[in-house]
Amino acid sequence: MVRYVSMAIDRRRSQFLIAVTLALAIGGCSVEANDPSLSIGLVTNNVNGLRNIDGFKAGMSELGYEEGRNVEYVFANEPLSGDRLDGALEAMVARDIDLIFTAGTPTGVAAHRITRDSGIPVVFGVIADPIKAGVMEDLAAPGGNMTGVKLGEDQSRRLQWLTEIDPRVRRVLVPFNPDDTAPSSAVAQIEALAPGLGLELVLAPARNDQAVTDLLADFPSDVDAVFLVPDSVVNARLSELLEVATAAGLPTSGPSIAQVDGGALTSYGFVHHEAGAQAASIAVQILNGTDPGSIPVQNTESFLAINLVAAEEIALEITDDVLRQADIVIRGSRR
Amino acid sequence: MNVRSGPAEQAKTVTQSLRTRFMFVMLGLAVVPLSLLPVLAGRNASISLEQQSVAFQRQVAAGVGSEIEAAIHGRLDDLEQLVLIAHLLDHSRQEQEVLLNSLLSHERMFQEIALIEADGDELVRVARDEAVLPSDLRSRSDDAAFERSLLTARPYFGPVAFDDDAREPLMTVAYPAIDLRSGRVSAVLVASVRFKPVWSLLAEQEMTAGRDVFVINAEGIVVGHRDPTRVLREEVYLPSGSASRSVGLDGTDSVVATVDLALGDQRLTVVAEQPLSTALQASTDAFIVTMYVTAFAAFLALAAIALATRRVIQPIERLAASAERVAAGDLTERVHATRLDEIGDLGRAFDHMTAELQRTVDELEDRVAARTFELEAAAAAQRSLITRLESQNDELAGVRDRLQELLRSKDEFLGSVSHELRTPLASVLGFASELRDNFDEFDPEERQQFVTLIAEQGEDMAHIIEDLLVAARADTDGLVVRNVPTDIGHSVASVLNQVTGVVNDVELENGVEALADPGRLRQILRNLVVNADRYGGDQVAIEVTERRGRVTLQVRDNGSGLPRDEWDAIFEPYTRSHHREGQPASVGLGLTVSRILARKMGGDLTYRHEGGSSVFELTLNSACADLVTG
Repeated sequence: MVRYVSMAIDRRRSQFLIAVTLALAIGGCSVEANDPSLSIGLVTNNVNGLRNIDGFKAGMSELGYEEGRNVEYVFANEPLSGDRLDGALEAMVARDIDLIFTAGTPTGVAAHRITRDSGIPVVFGVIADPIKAGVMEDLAAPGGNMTGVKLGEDQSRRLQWLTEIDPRVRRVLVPFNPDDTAPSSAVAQIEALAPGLGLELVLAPARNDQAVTDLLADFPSDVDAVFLVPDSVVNARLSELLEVATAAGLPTSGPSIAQVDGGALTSYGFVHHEAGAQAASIAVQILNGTDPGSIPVQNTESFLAINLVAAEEIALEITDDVLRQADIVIRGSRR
Repeated sequence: MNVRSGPAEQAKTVTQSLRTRFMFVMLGLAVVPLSLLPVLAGRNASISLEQQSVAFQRQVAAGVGSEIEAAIHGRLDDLEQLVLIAHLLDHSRQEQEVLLNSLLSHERMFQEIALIEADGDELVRVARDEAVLPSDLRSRSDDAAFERSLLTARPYFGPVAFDDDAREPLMTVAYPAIDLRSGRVSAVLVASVRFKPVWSLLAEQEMTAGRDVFVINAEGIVVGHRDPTRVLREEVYLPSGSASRSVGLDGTDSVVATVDLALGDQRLTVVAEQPLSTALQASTDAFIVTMYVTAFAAFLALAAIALATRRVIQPIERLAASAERVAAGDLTERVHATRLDEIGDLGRAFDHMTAELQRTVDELEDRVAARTFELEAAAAAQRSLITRLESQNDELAGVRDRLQELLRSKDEFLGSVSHELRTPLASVLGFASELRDNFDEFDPEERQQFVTLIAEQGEDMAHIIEDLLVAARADTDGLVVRNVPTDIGHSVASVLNQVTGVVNDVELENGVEALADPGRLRQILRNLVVNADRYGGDQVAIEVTERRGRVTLQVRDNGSGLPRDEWDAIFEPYTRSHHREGQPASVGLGLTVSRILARKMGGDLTYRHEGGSSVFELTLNSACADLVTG
């Protein structure tokens, strides 16, 4: 009934909530969605988005919308892009689906393009920068049929975390697709801060996969770390990038836990699963009757993750102070 | 059913109708309680539901309030633990930064934490989404949270405000670190606490049935609501005291419960509300359902009442109609009740009563008919008697009139007889007295004339007396005639010898004989000749004829004659119509006696006026009828 992502809830509070929940249930006011025909479309354009979708479904279930019982999900069970993505969204519009959840900026943009005249609410979780993506003009009052969770403005804090985790870092390689709003927005956040942290950013534009290939082939040798931003082009080659970086003994910071799971040293940013669950709470608001256009866009929660395995691979010792501040620590085996 | 034709039925008012009263009673017993049921049940349900709603809203508000208080106070506790347990102030800047970052990582409600010296300068500041460089540290001396906490040496809770960077509402919480020796505030921990969990808490409340829960500050500004735009619009809601009914945030009448949160000087109020319409929806639904059920039950009750009324009233109405037909006289009317209940008994009793009544009426009618017949017979007899009496009265009146007429005629007759007799008698007496007194003075011829006159006058008187005798005998049936063949010519000659100088012409056949009493025949002829002489014209003729066994003797005179209607009257006794000159007249009884005698002899005597002559015609049977031919 009462839920919040990773919010520390003490025992007393839990007991109280249980009591309140029981009381509400006894009072006939349990959160029991009673519409078995409720259908929600799910789309993502990348593999990590599958985690968002899992988180969204888990969040919905926790809030009373259990798959197969009172909600059905329309999902291709794989990332979609291009025409397939558009086709899936158009099909959802055609069947007048109750709500669409999108994971990834391209899916959000496509959903905005295809559903904006349909009245079907769209909850994104996440779009890196909805305004730059062109799906809305005001985060506080989105209007239209879309709202959701955007990436937090945490790139500078992540860059700072990188310096705290590995104080030796001075030159930071930042591969990114300058044609994509999400990485561009992230780069913009860190560019101003870097000098204050004593860092020099080495920006490496990679507009397509070939550019990434070229980067990998000609990987800079004068950098101290790799700073990955939310970028579907670059992150599609994550494992290769990590392999190259690790081989060069470079710490890598990713924008989300996905990169840490992939082998990156650290991340400070959203957790796909939790971002999906965070979006689920917004979806429930909408399903309860709130106009999606009136719900301000939320920032993703940022979690500090430390991969001690990766640290060991690059012979980096992580201080206890850092570990104390970490939300997620990967020890021995990856998550 | 339409049997209300009797006068009593027509005069019957609605309230007097058994059907109406029956319906009213049944309605009162069945429908009215049924109608009251949903009202009373609905009222009780409404009260109960409103109470339940109030309790529920209070529960929700209390729950949310406790949640908020626990969350906010928990963060204050976190700050307190940093100071009192982790000895935050005893650490280096870097360690302080680590501690604050650790807390930031551990408790995600913190968005930002700053350690501020008593002079207002930030010593350390960490932020969740912001990289704070040493150059970013600033003076917070003008920060209200810092100032209040520093001045009061007590925790401070600031207002809730939406932070555009964090994209969520934040609440400032300040905790003063007290120097153990001086007791003064040596530093203040000012933290921005994320209010978003409260929003999420509110948003995730299942607000079915129009329920809503939100948080307002002391000014009534909405600082927490499931619809963030209401917060961003800074909508204002001012709860109306402790009343459970109030106007809700949407302006609708609602059940409202409020719980005040004690957060230092900051006063927040959790408001839980539910529109009355939805709070009482169950009651309304129950009322509607009950109304439907009641309506259905009422319909069934009405149908049952109608059926019962039909079952009870209709037979009575039929019985009443039958009774009216019986009252109208149709005693063959029967209701032929087949029911086995009391109404059936009533119907059978009615039929039995009607049958008995019919039998009684039949008997009475028979008796009345018999009596009527008797009465009619008696009346007929009475009418017959009356008719007879009236007839007799008429006869008596006629007799009386006749007697009076006879008396009058008799008086006249007596007067006439006296006059008739007085004249000859005076002549007789005069001539006799003259002869007696002066016998000697007259010569013998004169005395002979006197004696002849006396004899003639005496014969006249004898004739008159003879007629009187005949009339008297005719009245007493004592008149006897002896018909013998009588020579008519001889009889005429005999009479003309006695009454000379009267008849001017005699025309008769010789040897005509009629069956007649010779003396009575001469009496008749004498009366006719004398009558013609006295009352007829100056020319008198006698004609005798015999035809077909009848002998006819006519005495004609040239007098003016009588009107037709008096032709028979002259033959009535004591009647005389000689008051006009030239008309036939009788001596009173002469013509009457003549007709009586003629009829006694088998003939008749009639009068007519023809050809300017009065004709007295005497008809008699011929003495030689067998010999007559033609």
